[in-house]
Amino acid sequence: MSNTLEIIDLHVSVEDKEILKGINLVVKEGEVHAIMGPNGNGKSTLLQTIMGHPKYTITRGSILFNGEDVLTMSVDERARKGIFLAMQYPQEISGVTNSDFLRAAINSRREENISLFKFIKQIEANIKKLKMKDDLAHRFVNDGFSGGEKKRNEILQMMMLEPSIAMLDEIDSGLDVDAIKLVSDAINELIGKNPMGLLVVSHYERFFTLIKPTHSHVIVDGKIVVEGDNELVMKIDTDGYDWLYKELDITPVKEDKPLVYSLGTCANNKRNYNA
Amino acid sequence: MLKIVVENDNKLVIDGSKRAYLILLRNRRINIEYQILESCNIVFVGQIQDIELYDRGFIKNDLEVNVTYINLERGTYVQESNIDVFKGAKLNVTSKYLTIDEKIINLNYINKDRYSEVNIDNSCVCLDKSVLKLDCTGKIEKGAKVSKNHQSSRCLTIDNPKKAEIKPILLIDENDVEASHSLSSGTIDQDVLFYLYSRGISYHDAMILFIHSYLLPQEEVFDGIDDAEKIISYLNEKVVNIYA
Repeated sequence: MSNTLEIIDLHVSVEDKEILKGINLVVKEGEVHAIMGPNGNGKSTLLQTIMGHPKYTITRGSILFNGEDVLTMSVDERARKGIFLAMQYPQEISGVTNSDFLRAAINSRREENISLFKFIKQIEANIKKLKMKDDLAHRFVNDGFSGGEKKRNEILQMMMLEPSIAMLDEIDSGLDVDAIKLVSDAINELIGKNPMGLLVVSHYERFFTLIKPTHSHVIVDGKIVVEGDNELVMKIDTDGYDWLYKELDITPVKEDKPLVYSLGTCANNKRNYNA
Repeated sequence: MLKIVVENDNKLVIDGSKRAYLILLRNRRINIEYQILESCNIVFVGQIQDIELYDRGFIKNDLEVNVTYINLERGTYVQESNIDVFKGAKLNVTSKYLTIDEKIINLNYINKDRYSEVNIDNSCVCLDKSVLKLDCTGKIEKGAKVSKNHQSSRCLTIDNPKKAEIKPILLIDENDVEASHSLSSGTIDQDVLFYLYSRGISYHDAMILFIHSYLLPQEEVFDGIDDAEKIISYLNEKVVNIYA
């Protein structure tokens, strides 16, 4: 059976504020879906909700993976079923090596633990492919990594875990031109080997040119307002979103910017920021 | 290498013939006193439940000694350690405690004379319903000029321990010295846990990864010890089977 992720009328809130307002989407293996839209309109919320981040409350709708209800599964169960999220801001885990972390992740989805020999062979080959530092396996997870290294590490994990549905949340931000090419090649090679479905959030046409989306969707104010294929990606890259707002008579949500307080010279600064 | 299985109320003279001493704690009550006459590593590893360890050490002039305490056992553990550090000597203490039931620990490391140095590094993990009380005192005595005494402690709490109390204490009775103490205590960040879960790692396996990172010492700790691999594998097994 081909792997299929179905999102049906999904409504999601954070602290009583509705972020997603009825998303419908089907991703099948072998398909590459580009998710675009202005910042703060629900793209990352969608991916995090599919993965099961506890911050998000689902108020209506369902998510099915191969017909099974994803919403009743814990986050680790979803991952073991084959759903993977490459995060926009990967966590740093000091004290835990990449090697221990990845072996635990691989072993979690196997009856029998992977042999050390096979694991080392696999990780070394993938590190080489992504042109990462040789000592990566012995370094702590993302600890002291540059932005680009963290993103490559996400892709390394995806290559090692070989998911059925992979979600990439702005994986290209923080990567230079060469690294984008390297990461895209790795993704395309993985798709060729293992026909997974991809859900990709990015703002850059350059990345989409390399991974060639089969479908594209634009999310504005928590809804998919337009769908298409690679041509839609090109049009947005050239014309931006304004034509869409006019044509559909919609207004995007403005991204919340947190207030910044300066510590130490508190009282006066706080007064100024609030003024 | 001298491997010492401490019997009741031993008095041990570390005479300089060895570089490293592994002391396996396999008795309920252990009293041990050591005079250190040559630089060396001493490693104490708890291997049974319900131990009381009382150790008293003296480090003579200009030596460098590393002392490591590891106890990952269940049951009640009581430890009282006192080590005096004399002129120009350096003491590095590393402790690793996993608290499943109850651990009451009192550590005292004293700069007795000039140019002496003490560095203490405590790591603890406290599991659900456990009790940990750790008092760690670094003291620079009168006359121990130009000495150093630094200590840092960290404690990871998992689920809901009944008590996880660490008191770093610094007593300074001399001028012209360097001293510091630090303590961090807390649980695992929810976003870090989400990251681990998102890779398929279960709660228990995630905890094992963290306990491993907090408590399993660097292999160098066992330098010069014959049965090092056996001990490392023993400690590994303890962590891996913690939820078994």
